This record gives sequence, structure tokens and C-alpha cells, in this order.
Amino acid sequence: MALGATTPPSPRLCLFCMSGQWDRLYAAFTIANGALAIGQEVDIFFAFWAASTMQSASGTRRRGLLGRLMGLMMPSSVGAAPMSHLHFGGLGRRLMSFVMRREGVDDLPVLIKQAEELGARFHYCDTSMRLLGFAAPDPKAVSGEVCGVTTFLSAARGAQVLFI
Amino acid sequence: MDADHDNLQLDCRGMKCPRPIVEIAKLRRRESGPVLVRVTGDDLAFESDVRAWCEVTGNALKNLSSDQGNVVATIEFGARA
Repeated sequence: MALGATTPPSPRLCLFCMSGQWDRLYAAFTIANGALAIGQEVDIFFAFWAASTMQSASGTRRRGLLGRLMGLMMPSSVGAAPMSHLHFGGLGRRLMSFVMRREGVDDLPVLIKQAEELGARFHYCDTSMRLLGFAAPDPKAVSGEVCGVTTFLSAARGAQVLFI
Repeated sequence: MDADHDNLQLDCRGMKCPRPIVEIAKLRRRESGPVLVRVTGDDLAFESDVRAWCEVTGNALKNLSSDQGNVVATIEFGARA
């Protein structure tokens, strides 16, 4: 049975993460954690910049010269993902981490790990990964599957869907 | 209610949203119920979120009191189907 639920199963939650910005991923994973806590099943689809941030963070390599060049210009970890406002070349992001620690707010890597532990399923858009120069992810290093749009549509049927 | 199971405590003070609710849900998964749990939290979102969690998951919120910034929620975890 889904985590925490005693009543009939709640609708599943299907998150479509497009943005690789730190604050948007933070919102996505906060919602995912909450949904898991109320017993919803959660599927998270990562496309484009979100897929890039998540795959880079997991150490997936990029192919060829073009892929490597892209890798140089994009965040290599979740912590390096830019904020949509007040980023100031990374200064604002560091300030945010400082404030989060001071306030006892869980940082993004904690939320990601917790969502995985509570059973969230991660999916990565195959086409995005190709366009952004990624090689096939190492299944031992990256949790989740690489998939296409039909997998997303199938998971989205009868589920709550959020595009972030 | 079995008296032995009447005194489960969960201290969520210092935790911020969504952590307290996640901790309650983790405890719920470990307990097969029925059991009473006293959860203490001091996050501003705690009271509202604990109400919502109980409502959505179908666990009974028996009591809710606040004292000097701490909110204490007494939840009765239902028997598992």
C-alpha cells in the first residue's frame, strides 16, 4: 500500500519537469515529497534542462565534442543549478544555501534522496538526452528509466499532472 | 485502544515543510495501527499541513493544541485494511 494511506488510493501525481533551474526543481521535489507523504504514487518526468541537471548530477557522460562543450556550459550538479532570480553568478545561490541551513529547511539533494526512498519513479526524456549530448546513463548510478512521450502520456492518464 | 500503544511520540520541532509530514508518513508506514501518536511541530505550516494530511489519508486528528509556538497534534492511526 502507498505510504501513509488508509483510505482508497489517492490519484497518482505526475510531474513534468522542464526547467533545470534550482528553484523550480526545489518546488517540484517539495511537491513530490508531500504527495508521497499523503500516499500518492509519484512519477517525475525530466525533459530538457531538468534532464540535463539531473543526469549531470548523476555523472552521466556526454558524447563527442559538441556534447562535451554543452557540458561545460551547463550545471554539473543540482547544487550548481542556477536560480531564476537573484542568482548573481552563483552568489545568490550560495546565500540561499546558507539561509536554508540556518532555517533548518532541507536542501534540494535531501529532497531528491527522500523522494527516491519514498518510492518516486524517475523518467528521463530520451530525445532531450540525445539533443543535450548525453550517452546512455549508467543504470547503477542513475535511478529511473529513459523513455519517450508515450510513457509520459500513459502515466499522465487519470493522474494529477503538473508542468514545472 | 491498547494502553501500550497509547504513547507514540514524534518530535518534529525544528523541521520545516515538507519534512514533518514526511516523518509522520514514515511512522505511519511502520505502524500497522490502530495507535495514537503525539506529534509536536513548530513550523508555521505544521498545523495546516497536519490537518490536511489527516483528512487526505483518512487518519483521525483527535486533538490539536498549541503552546508557545509549539503545536501538538494527536493523531489516531487507523487500522490497516
